[in-house]
Amino acid sequence: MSIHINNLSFSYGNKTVLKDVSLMVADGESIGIIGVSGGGKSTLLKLISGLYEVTNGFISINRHSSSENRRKSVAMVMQNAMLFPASIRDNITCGHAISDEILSYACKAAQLTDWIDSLSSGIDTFVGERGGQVSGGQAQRIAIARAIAKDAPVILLDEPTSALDGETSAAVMTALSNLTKGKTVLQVSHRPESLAACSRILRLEGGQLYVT
Amino acid sequence: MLHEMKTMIKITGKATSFLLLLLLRCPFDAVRTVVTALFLQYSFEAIAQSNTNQLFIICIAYGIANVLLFLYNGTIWIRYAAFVTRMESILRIKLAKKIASLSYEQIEARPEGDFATLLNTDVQLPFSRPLHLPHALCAIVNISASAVILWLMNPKVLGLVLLFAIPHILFTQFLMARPMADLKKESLKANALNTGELGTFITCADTAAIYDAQDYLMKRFEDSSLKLVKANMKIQRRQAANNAILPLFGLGGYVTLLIVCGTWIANGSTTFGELTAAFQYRGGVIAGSCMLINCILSIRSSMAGIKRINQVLEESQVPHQAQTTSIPILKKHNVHKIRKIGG
Repeated sequence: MSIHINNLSFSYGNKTVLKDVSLMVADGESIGIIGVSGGGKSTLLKLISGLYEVTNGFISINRHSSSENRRKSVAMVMQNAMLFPASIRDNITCGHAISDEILSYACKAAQLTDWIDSLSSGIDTFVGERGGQVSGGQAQRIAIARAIAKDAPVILLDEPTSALDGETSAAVMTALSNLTKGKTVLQVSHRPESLAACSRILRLEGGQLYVT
Repeated sequence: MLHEMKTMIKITGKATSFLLLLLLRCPFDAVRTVVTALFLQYSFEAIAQSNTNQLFIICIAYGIANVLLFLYNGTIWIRYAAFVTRMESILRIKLAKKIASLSYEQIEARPEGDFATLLNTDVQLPFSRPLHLPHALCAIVNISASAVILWLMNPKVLGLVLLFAIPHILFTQFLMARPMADLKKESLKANALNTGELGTFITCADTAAIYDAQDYLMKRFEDSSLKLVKANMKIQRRQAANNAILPLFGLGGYVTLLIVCGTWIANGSTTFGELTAAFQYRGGVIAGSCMLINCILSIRSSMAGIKRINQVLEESQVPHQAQTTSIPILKKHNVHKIRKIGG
């Protein structure tokens, strides 16, 4: 699925974070956007995903511009995975009727299977209040499994490995690679090395996109 | 129960002021009962003697006594209300400080709503909602004073009053008050869960929107709301049953006393003035008993909140690995080793 952004501007009150941003992402393309913290990268993803309403400019995913339709087409993995105070299963399915087969595939692709098998309650283990009973890497892989289970054609990644150490990051990277296979990907980061797998890298600076 | 309350007051550091205000508030109901009873007795006797001058003086004296009583009562209540607000504030700050000093594991172990309930609902239970402690003391003084006067006036009347009052108190104590603490505890727990579910709605709003999980979260919120309703319903049912029983005992005692005393007046063994005064003292015993019953119910249910507060305030901090290694984290060669804990 393609993403089409045209003359997109966005402000928080008087502070403009995006100015006339235009971008075309082809179906199956993987785009990386680099920029400093607070430069508007996450805002751009929130606008694409339909979390924020577009007030100035235009965004469409596969020619659908409504925020509701955009939300249906994307899966998003953020820097700090937000988990519901529920079981691993519920955190992946989000309460939807997802078959065990898909669930098992999502866990495997997200590198969760071995860890889940080692738990006495397995996939029904409670992740704790505010995800307190799982590590950052495990939480991130649960979030990736959630995205895999959604099987959305567009994947948005907001610095998904920046809060993790090298070893944990490797497992998450494998999970991410399984998640993004064959999908349209838009990944933002402030670290160039984390965008190495992207086919095209752009720079967001002063609210505008530049080719690097 | 008393130990929990003592611990709570000790924590606030205002035990003397609290006790002083309670003692100052105590005599009001008893004095008002005596003043009204004396007024009724003397006024009806003056009416029986057709002495209008005496009736006028009695009415003026009664009016003055009431003004003084209400001035006294109002002053004490204002002071008590201000004191309670300060106590709640002290307790809230102490709780917040304690929560802030808890280890991350201890904070993580509790639902988010638990802290919100502690700081917003539980802190109001010991002192101000409802004002059960001063009321309970007033009731005890009122019951004791009225019972003693009634016994001095006519022990048989006191016997009749107690015949209906004692079963009522026992009934309430065993069937209502005892389970109330557990029911309230259940309710506070359900409230904390419900608040926590609402918190999830907010903290996970982006995830819920993207993964279409609003219905799932709403279902969880509805389930927790239902639990809260069920827990509160149990309390309401108990209280409703108690309120339904109240007139049964009250009216039964009133009718019996009226019939018995009516025959005594007919025999000439008592006067109408003495009868009205006896009714007033009976009112003191009955109203005091009812107030005491409600206070016991209220104190019982508030104990759940007090226990929860004491539990947090007395919770000792559990040392954990991240804390014990917090200083070495600053050293470069330790960074990799520490981070491995989270993986």
